[in-house]
Amino acid sequence: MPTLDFVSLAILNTFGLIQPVYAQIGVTWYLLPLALAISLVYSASRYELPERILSRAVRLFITIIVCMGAVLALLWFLSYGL
Amino acid sequence: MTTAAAESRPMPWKQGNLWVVGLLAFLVPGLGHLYQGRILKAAIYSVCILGTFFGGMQMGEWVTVYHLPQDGKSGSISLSYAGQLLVGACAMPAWFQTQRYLDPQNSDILAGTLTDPIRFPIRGELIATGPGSDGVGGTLVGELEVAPNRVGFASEITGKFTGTVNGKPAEIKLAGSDFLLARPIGGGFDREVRCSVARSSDQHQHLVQVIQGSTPRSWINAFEAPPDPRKLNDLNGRLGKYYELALVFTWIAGLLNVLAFWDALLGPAYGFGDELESAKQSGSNSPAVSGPPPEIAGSQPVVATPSTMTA
Repeated sequence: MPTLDFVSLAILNTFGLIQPVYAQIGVTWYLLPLALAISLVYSASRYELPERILSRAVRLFITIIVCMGAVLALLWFLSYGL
Repeated sequence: MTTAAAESRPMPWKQGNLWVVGLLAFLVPGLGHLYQGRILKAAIYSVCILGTFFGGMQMGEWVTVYHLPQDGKSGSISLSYAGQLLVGACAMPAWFQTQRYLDPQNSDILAGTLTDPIRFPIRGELIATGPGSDGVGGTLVGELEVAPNRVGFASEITGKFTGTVNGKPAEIKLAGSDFLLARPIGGGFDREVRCSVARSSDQHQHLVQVIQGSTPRSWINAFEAPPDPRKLNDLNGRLGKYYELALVFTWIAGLLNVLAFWDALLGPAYGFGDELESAKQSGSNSPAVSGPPPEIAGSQPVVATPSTMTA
């Protein structure tokens, strides 16, 4: 099936552009527990009331994830086609 | 660092002796808060900081926390270990393990330094290279018996392997000068083993067989002990960026414990968390209120304020 092989190669080449990023996914997942721990500890050191700590921790966690996601997207965009 | 709002109101927990609190908070993340009766914070700090620290250690195969001075002097301290030491007691064994590691008697055992017969379990591979190596070799599990064998001025070993190769029972004779058993005290729970296999009369003269593997290292000899360069190369080669990430985890845990330490001594940095609501209820511009918040007012006696805690 040479046609299919050609298509497969084309797809692989296309996704090969983002392969370095995809290969990093395994490491990237470690960001979640790390960001969670940092958010909780930082918020706990700022406030005393449990509900306040938790609400601030959730907010900080989302902020970290969104910011890191934005950086990831920017790097992916800048490395597109390299 | 504490706000005016927090400074103007008493601490709703048992402050206790600040030296004791500081010591406990430094030694074990969350223990200072537990001593003060701040259960939730103790749980948050201990789970998050120790989880990050030991998670990093596990990710790096328990060879991420060690104290190995670059200049060989045990008094100096590397920046990496300084960051890890902030976690407290969990990183302190590394300091003592370094003293044991640098002991002259703690060295690799080679054919020339082997003085008495030794016997130890091994798990590894039989590696064959050269002509006639096809079909020879494989995974081996068993026991190695090695004894020194002085041949003139040359130092060699002799012995045998007993166990299984590729799941089949096997006994292999050992001989030659190529022998290595890694030092007893060192990073990692495996001691590297390498041993040459004796030649048999029917094998090709250029066929070389070597047993390569590892034998378990005891917990007390491995935990937070410095790894030798071979182990570090092996870890960096196999784990790559995961090993670096594991180091980062342990450093971040140390830095997070600084926040916990600070909180145990001086209280929360921004206040208790209900200052805005209290200010709205009182209708004044000042967020300061008197007395602890209603949620925690009855939990602990009031004994100190931040302004009195700097002594």
